[in-house]
Amino acid sequence: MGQTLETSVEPKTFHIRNEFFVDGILKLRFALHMIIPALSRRFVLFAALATLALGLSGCDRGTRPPEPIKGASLNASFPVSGEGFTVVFTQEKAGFVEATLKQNGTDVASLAIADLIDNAGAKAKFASSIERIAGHPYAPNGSKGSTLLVANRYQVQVRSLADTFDEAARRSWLTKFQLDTLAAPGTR
Amino acid sequence: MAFLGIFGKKKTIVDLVNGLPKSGLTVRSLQALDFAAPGEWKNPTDFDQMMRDLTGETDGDFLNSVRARAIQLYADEKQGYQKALSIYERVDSADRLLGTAAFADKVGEKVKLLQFLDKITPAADTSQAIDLVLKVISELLAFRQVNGLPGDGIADFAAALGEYAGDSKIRMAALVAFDGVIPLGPDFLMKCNDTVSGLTPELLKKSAIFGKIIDFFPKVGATAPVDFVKQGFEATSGWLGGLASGLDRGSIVDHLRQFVEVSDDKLDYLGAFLDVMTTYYSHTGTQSIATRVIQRAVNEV
Repeated sequence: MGQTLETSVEPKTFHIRNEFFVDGILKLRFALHMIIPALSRRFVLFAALATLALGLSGCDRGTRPPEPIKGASLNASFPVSGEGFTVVFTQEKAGFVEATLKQNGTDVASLAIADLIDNAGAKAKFASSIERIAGHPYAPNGSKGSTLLVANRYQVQVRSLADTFDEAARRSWLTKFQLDTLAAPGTR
Repeated sequence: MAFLGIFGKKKTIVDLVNGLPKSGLTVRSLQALDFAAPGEWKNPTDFDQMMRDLTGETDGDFLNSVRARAIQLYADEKQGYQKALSIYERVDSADRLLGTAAFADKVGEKVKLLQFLDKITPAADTSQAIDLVLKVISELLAFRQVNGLPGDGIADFAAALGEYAGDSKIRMAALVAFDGVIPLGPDFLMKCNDTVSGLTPELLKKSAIFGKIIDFFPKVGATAPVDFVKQGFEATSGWLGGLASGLDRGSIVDHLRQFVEVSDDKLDYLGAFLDVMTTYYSHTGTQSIATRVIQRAVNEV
């Protein structure tokens, strides 16, 4: 399992602005050297460096990772309660929704959809997936989790919380998600 | 801002859990409530063990990836987990007696409440009731941050209380026991309801807790703070009553007497003593937040 700290957007603006600032400061320093005494020059150089620092920090705005989908948009793709099972939602964050699956009041599994739009590390495990469930790449996740990658973006996972809830049950519950809804843009 | 890294390292969720005390007054006070919820709380203070327990996984590489994701999620301020911890810490700090944390760390050693009588003052019933109500509201506010629910979150919170377990359940049990039953008596909920029905902005402002948590009240389409407090407490008081039914005052005091010497005529000081000497909100709050972060992280690797 790879680390998940990667950002897919190359910060090109950083280099451009960096060169611009460094070049500008060198020219400014030369000009100041000619006309301002040494003590004052140090102060002006400090001020220029501070400006550079602020300029670089401003570059963060141009290299933000893409925004994940609203959690509420994912709720409709979850399985519904019925046949002795209850789906209880527990977390709803940007790009992530989790629910607990209960059978007769006992927690048997967790159900989750995670938006992997800025999480290439998690997506990597599907690169070697041969098996497909309902047309979507399948991969185990640890010894208790079963996952699907839907629309090359959303990870659907069923994780066992009770020993009685085995891999076959996990695979079966993966198909109870509204995978078509999740895959189709504009229908969420 | 990446610059902050130069001046000091923020604690990770791993640091926060691993830094929790394994003993001391907070831990012993919470353990004293085990009779009401046997085995409910095991005081998790080892992040890696928490991951193993919550995920059921043992593979080192897999758990390393879960830990890395958990650290990343907690470190992202937008996710709300840091705000939730801030709420729990502010509740604790509002009534903390500084310089007393080292007491009763040794197992078997008893704290003599008499030694503290000049340092603590039992609150009047009305201000005690408001503090209790605001602690419930703080839990609601932290819940909104951790679970990321839209709107005021009151209905979702009330529904989720039934699912409270472990660290969250013991926190609420301690709230009922230490801030309700001990200082206000078995009819504490009635006193709280009376106080809430007559609540005014002026009364709210007198509470040290209110000033510390007001920043976290819902802002978009929000009702006035007084109405939010009223609605939040009314939605949860039924559940608190159910929890209180298992927390008899005599039993709580008997269990606390395992490490606190207190005479029957000084019981009114016991609640105030626990208030200023423990940090049970931030202690169990850290554990609850870590639980949610791990449960999310294992779904994002």
